[in-house]
Amino acid sequence: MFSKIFVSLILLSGSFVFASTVDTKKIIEYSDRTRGAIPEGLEWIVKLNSVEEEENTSREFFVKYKSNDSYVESKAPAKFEGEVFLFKGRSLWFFKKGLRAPVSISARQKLSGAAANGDIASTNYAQDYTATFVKMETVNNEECYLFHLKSNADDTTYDQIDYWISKKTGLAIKANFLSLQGKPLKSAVFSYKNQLKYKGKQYPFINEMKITDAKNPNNQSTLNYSNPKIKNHPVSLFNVNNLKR
Amino acid sequence: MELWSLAFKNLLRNPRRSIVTGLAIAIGYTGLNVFNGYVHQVERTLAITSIYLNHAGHFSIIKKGWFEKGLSKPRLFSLDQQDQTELSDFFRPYENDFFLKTPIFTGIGLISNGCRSLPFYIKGLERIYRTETPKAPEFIKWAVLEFKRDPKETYISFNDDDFPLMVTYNLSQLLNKKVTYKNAASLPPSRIIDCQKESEKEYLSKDPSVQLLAKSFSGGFAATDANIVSHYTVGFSFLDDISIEGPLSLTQKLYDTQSISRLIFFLKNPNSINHWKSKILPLFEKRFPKLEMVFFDDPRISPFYTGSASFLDSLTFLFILIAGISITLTIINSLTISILERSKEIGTFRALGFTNNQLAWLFGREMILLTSLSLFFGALFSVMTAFLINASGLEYIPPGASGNIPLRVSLEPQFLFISFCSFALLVLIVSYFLTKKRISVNTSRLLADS
Amino acid sequence: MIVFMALIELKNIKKTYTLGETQIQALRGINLQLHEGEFAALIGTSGSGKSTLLHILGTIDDPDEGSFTMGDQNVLSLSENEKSYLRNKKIGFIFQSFHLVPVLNIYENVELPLLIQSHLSKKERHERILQSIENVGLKDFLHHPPNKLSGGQRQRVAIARALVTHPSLILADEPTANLDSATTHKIVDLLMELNTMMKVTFLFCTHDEKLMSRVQRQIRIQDGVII
Repeated sequence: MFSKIFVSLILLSGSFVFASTVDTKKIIEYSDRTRGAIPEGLEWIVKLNSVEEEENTSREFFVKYKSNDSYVESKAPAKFEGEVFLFKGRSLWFFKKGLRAPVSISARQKLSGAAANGDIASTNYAQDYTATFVKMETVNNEECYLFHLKSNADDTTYDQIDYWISKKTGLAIKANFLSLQGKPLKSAVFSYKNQLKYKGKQYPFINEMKITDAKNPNNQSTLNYSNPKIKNHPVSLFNVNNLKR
Repeated sequence: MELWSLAFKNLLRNPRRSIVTGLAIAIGYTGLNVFNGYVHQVERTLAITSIYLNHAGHFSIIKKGWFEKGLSKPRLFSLDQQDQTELSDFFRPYENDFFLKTPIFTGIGLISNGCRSLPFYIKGLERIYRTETPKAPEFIKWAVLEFKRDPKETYISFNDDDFPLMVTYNLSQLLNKKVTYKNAASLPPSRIIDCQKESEKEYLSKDPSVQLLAKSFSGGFAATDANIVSHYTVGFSFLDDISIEGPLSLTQKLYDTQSISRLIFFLKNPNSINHWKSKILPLFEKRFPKLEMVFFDDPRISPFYTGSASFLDSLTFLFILIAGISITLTIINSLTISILERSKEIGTFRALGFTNNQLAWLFGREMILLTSLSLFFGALFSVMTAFLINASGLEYIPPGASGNIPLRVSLEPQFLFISFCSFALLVLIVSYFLTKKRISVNTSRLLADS
Repeated sequence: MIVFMALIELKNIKKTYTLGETQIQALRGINLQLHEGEFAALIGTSGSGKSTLLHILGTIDDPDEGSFTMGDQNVLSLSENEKSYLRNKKIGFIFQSFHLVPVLNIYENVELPLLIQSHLSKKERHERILQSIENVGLKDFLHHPPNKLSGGQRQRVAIARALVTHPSLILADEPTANLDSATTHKIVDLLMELNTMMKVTFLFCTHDEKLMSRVQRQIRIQDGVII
């Protein structure tokens, strides 16, 4: 894996292709909300622990999210403090103090390494994929909807996604991220022990995501989410040109 | 008169036929030599490009597995400081054999102009590489003019504080970086770039700075500014879209390491490479089971050179075969006609006491003389043709090359000599056996046929 | 002319040729002795077998049956190379059409049979050639090519070439057929002179009456037998 960036999450409600017998849009919308699809904006802390080639590394990020953009600032360890990753739509920018300009990283360049993990965390299903209901399937003793998502943009990192959502809870249990040929590249499993208060109601919110490399299952990354809060961030925060300021 | 003299006089029997046959052989031989001279030139140029410009050296030391995994897992497949110390100790007794011994760091990452990022493949080298390699005799002889640039036009004229970088012409075009860095004062002021605006392209093209992004050895992304001090070419078009080169210190700083990817060795006597393969390599392998000594003709380090060289060898072999067959058929034709025309004379010679063997050698001598003279003139034509081609100033783009190179022919004396002897021998054998077969006719019939 | 012991002896020599589907018996049991120093003519009409007999005597053809001795040598038991050696050393040929090599001058044409006699030194070879050419009266024409000579002169060259090896036997196949009368006589005179001087056995194939009348011995052949 190329790096160990893990970034915040997902997603937007957007437009989806509906399955004829299952209300695809409604199901995916609900699950997305439990992973951060809040229009007003969110922030949280992500602790990332990676095992790569039997080596452990840990990092901590402070994530600010709004409207499919993510501003991720490195907090720990100290030598990486101040580094910023800006997920603007599908593109990623890297910046650190002292550089004359930020560096863009395209979707395909993200595929190698942990940038791919960050991309999993920030995948925008609504905007980038067309969803189709496939069948019902049991995962971890839970009956789940299996949706197949196909990329409808040229520059997405993953061309296809298999996505399992629990019928009972409406929470996404698992996702497999595939290449154009359908070859598995990465897989992710989710758990939701956090609670988020939104418009007077409490919603389950993701607390952990485990991402595994399909080619080498020993290479794993775990994102732990804490302190999720609704926060209305200014739009200017997500402007690439403001990174230098 | 001796038998050779008799053979020569027989060639003059039908001067027109002898000249035409001789010309056919001479022209075919010229073509073969000139082609081989071209192939020789190309092979040497490719070899020198690989050794000196693509930094294969005459041999390199790497960690085993570096070719397969060195780019994706550089930390695991680099030579750390302990490796470097141990290698230094091992090679100390052979110091006099080396023209130059130098480390190289190679890595991948992204190079950005502030708006757009492209992948790069970087080579970090000590400055001495650029100053010393142009002095190597074989470099002087074989490297094309483009590569014989003044070392001062490279990063050696800049300090580490200038973050000097060389970028290939192609990559520079792709990044829209037209100017080169002179000093810190020459840098335009840093400002926010609105990448969406067309008018910003002008600003970008006048700013020689770029950003390099890579995965550091200590984990995480690492990034640095760098300044384009000059443009260059690596000689191969497929590398010219991604290659950059800078001081070793720049790369080690970017990747946050003191390790190196390879240790490169240049021999004072390139011909001693076989000695190194046969005598020193076994010692090295015994001492360093986890390291590998890779010679420049290994396809892993010089894929283009080895692939091209073996293709050219095959092509040369094919040409030699064609030339050999052509010469043989020409001789067979000429000889057959000659024998048929002189059947009465053959009978007379038999009557005079010449054996079949002696007659066969008589005709063999004629063909040898004809072939030798033809080959001799062919060799002269080859020299003249090579001279004319080299003086013509013609240029061409070889497959895979990144630009024009002069069309040159470098005749090989050994090839001339060996092919000369081989064809002469071939002709002698063919003539002897063909004549023996054809004159095995009853003598009285030969005499009666007149 | 003193005639010595039998140089050559043929006994019951037979030779058959195949011409298309026809078998032609060229020689039907020839018995012949030739003695040293003889000056003989082999006379017969066309198809009588005289050329065949001459070729067998010259070892350039082999009989189907019979025996052939030269001195005490059984010629038929020799290998091809041994026969070539024998021809080179002991037999000289003179042909109707001279058979000179056009690209060589007189000296070189005469030298030809000596080129394969490695036992001779250069000096010895040179002396022999000069002597041979002088014997036929052409010493002023050493470096002339054959095409610059008359028919008679060319035949002299052929004679010189035949004699240069100091053979025991000279075989001449119609040597005067392409010459005019005056030249013919001169050639015959020369041959007789050489026969006397060098004691070489001469056998001619001829149907030239002028030549027949001047030989010591006439051997007539008809339908493959000596009559």
